[in-house]
Order: sequence, then C-alpha cells, then structure tokens
Amino acid sequence: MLHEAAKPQMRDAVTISAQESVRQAISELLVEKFEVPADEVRADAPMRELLTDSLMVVEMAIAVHETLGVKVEEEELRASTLGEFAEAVRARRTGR
Amino acid sequence: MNRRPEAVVTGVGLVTPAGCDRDTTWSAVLAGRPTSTPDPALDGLPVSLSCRVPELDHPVLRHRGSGRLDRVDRFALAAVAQALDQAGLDPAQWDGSRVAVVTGGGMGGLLTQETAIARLAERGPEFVSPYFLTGYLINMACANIALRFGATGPALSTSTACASGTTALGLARDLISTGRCDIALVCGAEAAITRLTVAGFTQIGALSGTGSRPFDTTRDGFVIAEGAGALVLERSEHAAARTARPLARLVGYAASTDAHHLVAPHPGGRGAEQAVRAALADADAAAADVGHVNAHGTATRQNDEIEAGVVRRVFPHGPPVTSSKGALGHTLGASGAIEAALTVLALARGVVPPTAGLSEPDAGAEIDVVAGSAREHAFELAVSNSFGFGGHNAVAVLART
Repeated sequence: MLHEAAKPQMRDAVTISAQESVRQAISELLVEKFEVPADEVRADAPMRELLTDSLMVVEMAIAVHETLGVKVEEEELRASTLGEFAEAVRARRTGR
Repeated sequence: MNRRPEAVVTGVGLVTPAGCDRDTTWSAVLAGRPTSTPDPALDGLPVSLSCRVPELDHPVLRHRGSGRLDRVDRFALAAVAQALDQAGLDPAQWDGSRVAVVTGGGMGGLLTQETAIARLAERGPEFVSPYFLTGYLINMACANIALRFGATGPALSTSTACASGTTALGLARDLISTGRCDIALVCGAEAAITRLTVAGFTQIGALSGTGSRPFDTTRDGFVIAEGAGALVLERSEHAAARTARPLARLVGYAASTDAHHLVAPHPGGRGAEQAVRAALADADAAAADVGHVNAHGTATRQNDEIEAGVVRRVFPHGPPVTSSKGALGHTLGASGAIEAALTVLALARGVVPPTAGLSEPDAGAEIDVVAGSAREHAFELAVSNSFGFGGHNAVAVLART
C-alpha cells in the first residue's frame, strides 16, 4: 500500500526534475555560450530579451537541437519566456 | 604648393607571440629572443614549428559577444585598444564620422572556417553556425573594430598577403592626407596557424622546420606566426589641437607590384626597389637620410637575398637593418603593421633591435644587419619594408617627431 501511495509523488518528482534539468541546460547555454549575465537568466525572462539579435536565436536553436535533441522553431524562441520555452522543449523530449 | 595634411602616429598596440601587449613584445624583440616552439597542433606534419600568441586577456574582450569572435578579431581588438589608450583617445568622446578603420589581413577567420567545414561534413548544413560568416569574412576584423569603438567613417580591409599591414597603413595615410578622416585606426591582424595553412606553405617550400634565421647563411624559411599590430594615425593638426604627443610621423608610403610570378619575388628585386624608391620620393627624402631599415626579412633563401640587394643598392651608406621576424616569426598579413609599430618604437627610443636567430651573417648580403644585441643608434628616418605573395610590395617611411 505504501508502495502504491508513493507512486504519484515519485512521478511528480521525476517530472519536476526533468523540467528543471531542461531549464538548467538552457540556462547554462545562455550563460556559457551566449554570455548572458547569470542574474538575468530567470524563468519569466522573454527569450527575445536574452538573445538580443537574430543570429543568436538561430545559434540557440542549433544548440538546443544539439544538446537536447529537440528541433525548435526560431519563432517559438522569439515568442516565449525561458520558462515556457524550457517546458515546451521538455514536453517534446518526453513525447518522443 | 599646398602641402597635404601630415599623418602622425599617436599610439601603437601589439599582440604578438612575444606577448599580448606593446611593452612585453618590445622587450622580447629588443632582447632578440626567438618565440618559435614545436606546435602540438601541427604534430605529424613535415613542419611543426610555429610562433603562437600566449593566452590573451584584455578588458576589450570582456564584453558580451566576445566569446564568439574569431581569434583574429580578438587580436585586432586588443591591439587597437592598446593603441587608442596610448593615444589618449576616448571613443565615447570623438566624432566617429571622422574616424576611419583600415585593416590588413591575408586569410580572414580561418579557425572559424575550419569549425564550420567540420560541422557541415559531420552534422549537416543545419548545424553550421550563423556566426560562421561573421567570423570568417576577411572584412570582419575591420567591422569589429568599427563596431566596438564607434568608428563610423570609411572602413577598408586590405589584402596583399604578407604586405597587408603596410598596405593598410599606406591607405590610411591617404585617407588622412585627402581629408577623408581625422583619425585612422590601422590594424594588421592574422590568426592562420592551421594544419592546412602550414601544409600549403610547406608545399611552396617557404617554411623552416628548424627556426627563423633572417639573413643568416643557414636560413631555410620562415616560421608561421600570428598576432596583430595597430597604429593610431592622426592628422597632425588634429593631434596638436588636443595636445597629443606624436610618437612618429608617417612621411612616406608607396606600393608596387612585381607582375612577375604569383609567389616568387622578381629575381632582381624590381618591384621591391621600385616601392622603396617611390616611398622615399613620396617622403621627399634622400636615401642617405634613412638611418634604419626594418626589413621584410622572412628568412627564406630568396627573399633575404633579393631584399639585401635592394637595400644595398638604394642605401649604399649602410644603415642598420633588422628583421623582427627572427623573434616573432612571420605573422603574414599582420607583419607590416607589427613591424611599423616596432619601427615607431625604435625611432622614438633611438635603438635598433637585433635580428633574433642570426648568428652567421650571409657574407653575400653586404648589409649591416644588427645581430646579437640591440644597438643604440639615434636616427631621424626609417623605412619599413613588406613584400607579399602575389608580388605585392609596400613600403612605409617613418620619421622621428
């Protein structure tokens, strides 16, 4: 019984940690590859403000494809916050 | 006759295998210390010696976006920043529309190109970085300098192979003397030590596997190097108005072309001699007034023999000659600007650096090449020679202030 009860909680934990790790990976890219100051990398920050020109957007799409195995559209990057974008990438990774 | 506006040098900057700044480089050149070392990146090639710039860190490279600059652009920005600092010019204060940028380079961003070629082959076109072209195109050192320092006047990228740096200096002088700018940021930069470049130069027979020994009996080629040299050129009245102290005057420049062979110099030094004589005429100077020659001095058999002949014929009074390539190797398109900067320092300080690597002077040369240790020597006028593949010759004449 205990075993059964623990299950949903564990699933939540796994979900949160997957989401966290995708956001973490994208945040690391933003800081290390795109030289965004770490304190600006927040979940509610619009990606278009973190990636300040069109070449950066293309470069980020390539980096996400390469490091997380998910193809993303440039439009999607321009339209979302970091948190939304990370969630979209996570959902597609899980859905594969 | 209306005298054209004179160009003065108010600052120089250096990023070389001897060090990432002007003073470290000057000390090493003055000490005659060679910088060539076996290069692990060239392992397995017939020639694996190079002169590499040490780890470079400069405040100008701590801005967002610096991480994706090609190596050649990093060198260029650091050299120009030093030169501006010495000139006492603050880009936040100037009228950018009166500031030109003229760069010289032979190769462009080869390292960025190599990465892109590998990604295209290994991963496919959609993995090629959008920053491939901004790193690779040969005008991007120029564009980066203009962007970083807010220079919105004319910008030119010159490419005359190993004469590029001097060509840039001459064109910048022309922009000043024709009134197109008040300040010109001149920079020769190159970062092209790749296995392919080295293989290519080896096939031409241009490289030494043992060391750079300009004008030495045993010389057998140049050692490939990288780096950047920058000079701030300024209309003399402009410098005077802000009470800047010029380091030297750029009083003459000329260029010529051998039109003889794509890589071999004309055996009689025809184009080279023409450029030297025309540069002296441009400076309104007599050959006898020249007190020092910074030779192209690559340490190839052909260049040094032919250049020695030119120097002997044009300057029979035997002014002391040096080749900076003994210490620094051959920085290709950067060399003209690096050597002009070193010539400015030699003029200002009254000393001719020795030619590193020269221990048995070629008896046939019959010119006075300074070897062993630096020579105290006050002089008023100096010539800096650059000759490039393609038969391009460019010569600058610099005068003490």
